[in-house]
Amino acid sequence: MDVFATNFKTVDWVIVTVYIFIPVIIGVMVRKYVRQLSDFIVAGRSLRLFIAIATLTGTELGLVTVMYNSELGFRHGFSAFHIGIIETVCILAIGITGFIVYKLRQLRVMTIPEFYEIRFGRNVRIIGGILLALGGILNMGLFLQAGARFMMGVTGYSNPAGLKLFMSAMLIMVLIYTVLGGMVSVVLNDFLQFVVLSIGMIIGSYFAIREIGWSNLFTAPETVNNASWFNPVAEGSGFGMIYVLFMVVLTFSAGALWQSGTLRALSAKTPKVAKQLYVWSSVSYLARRVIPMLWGICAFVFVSQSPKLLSSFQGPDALNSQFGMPIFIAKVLPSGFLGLIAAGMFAAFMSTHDSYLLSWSSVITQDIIAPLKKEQLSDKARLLITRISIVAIGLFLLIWGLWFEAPVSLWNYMAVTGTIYLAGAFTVVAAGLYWKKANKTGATLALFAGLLAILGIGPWTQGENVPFYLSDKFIGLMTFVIAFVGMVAGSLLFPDKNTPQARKDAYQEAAS
Amino acid sequence: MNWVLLWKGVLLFTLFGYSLLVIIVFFGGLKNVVAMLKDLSAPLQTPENNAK
Repeated sequence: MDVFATNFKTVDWVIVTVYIFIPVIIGVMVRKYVRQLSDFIVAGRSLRLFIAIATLTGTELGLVTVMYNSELGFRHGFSAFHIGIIETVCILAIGITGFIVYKLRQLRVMTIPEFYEIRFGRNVRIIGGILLALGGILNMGLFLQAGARFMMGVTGYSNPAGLKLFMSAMLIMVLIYTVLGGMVSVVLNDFLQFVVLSIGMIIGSYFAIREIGWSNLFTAPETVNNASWFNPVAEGSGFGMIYVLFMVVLTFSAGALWQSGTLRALSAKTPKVAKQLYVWSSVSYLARRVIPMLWGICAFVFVSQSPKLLSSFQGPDALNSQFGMPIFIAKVLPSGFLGLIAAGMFAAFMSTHDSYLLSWSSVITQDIIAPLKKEQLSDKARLLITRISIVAIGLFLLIWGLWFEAPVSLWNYMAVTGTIYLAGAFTVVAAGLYWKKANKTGATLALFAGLLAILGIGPWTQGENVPFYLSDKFIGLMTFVIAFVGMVAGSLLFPDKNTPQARKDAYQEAAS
Repeated sequence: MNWVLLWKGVLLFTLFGYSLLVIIVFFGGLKNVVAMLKDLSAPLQTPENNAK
């Protein structure tokens, strides 16, 4: 069987091509609703429950999410499901308790570093903004590459120049409608994409399970260890207890504070809606993990049944494991459905890009450039800077995304780059909201501690036989611990002697 | 611990639960979109407007 053989036909190309123009049309149509900065960034704080669920799911269920989760399923089998369970429990816990998100929505902030200024002062906001933008933009650095691999696997089209051109065109589409319509356009597109993508995922799962067979699905292939295929803490699973602990802190902090997701809570009509949003979305957080992992597992079982396919994923010239899922669905889905699934996946690609572009550009404007300027920036100037930032980030993604090769799996790259921001942010926001003694020295130390996470993509993570070997999961977990220690030690050893009364008053007023 | 049984249950719950969520969100979301656009069409709350 040819590795890149596919059922993708002309009709599928037509479906995909028509679909990717729809968001641009919506962006142009809703431009009239953007009259002030809060309309652009948080849709005028007008999101009601169901549209908020759709847009949160649309954002957090991107093509890259599907790719890294299917890669986890392809490489580790059912043992990868534990990440979905952990994340779901964390999101549910945040929704039930309102931990962090309720108070942040009450404060009416538009970005996380805005909270840093209210609680710890302007300098902490600028440092936090820089680290957030750095971690966030690096984090989305591989989205284009993963998208290109999906495209190649599904369509069988393998011309590298053509692929780069196609991915660039997709990114330009996203840039146009995000720059024009801001959050209003993003919300409407996310809703449409949530529907298309969800239907695609459910249909895709049906075909995947039908191809493999329900009972075969739960039988580990002969080429893998039966215990580690199902048990995440078994030896050889590729996870282990440290990884599980890292996932607990990572998914809990990301659930509460990942800017693009939290932006939905901050856009919610009321703090109560923000809480409900998390409770309901726990199901979609489970689906965004489990369904792509299922596809990855089915892909591996399918590949294992064909010696030729299996050999293409083994040896020194092995295909990247991210190709497993797209190659599988290209062979088992009929033409027409394949076009719908591809359209759904490209919808996912766009809905994640638009929100991330909006999130990081908002941070650059609100938390780095505006606080650095001495005079007050007008809404018009801020809108212009946000739009320029969106285009600048887009250009960076085109360059970085098409040549950088991650030294670790896609998910581990995402986890590590996310930790640069999350380790500090989670500590600073949680302490800022719930611990009276937290101060700016502790906050600054915690934020800088997050930078240690960048060690997680260094050469010393490449195997136990390299000098100074440290696993990426250990580095990630330790970064959270060090950020926490930094916050506590900094706050207790260097207490604020004279916090300006104006800042105390501002915080009390905002919180009440 | 029977991992196979656990993952079977998780998979079934996810597929059925998510399908149900999609149906609920689709119909609820349509109503929300109309209401959101109505909110955004309302006059801006500027000091001038408040004074009127």
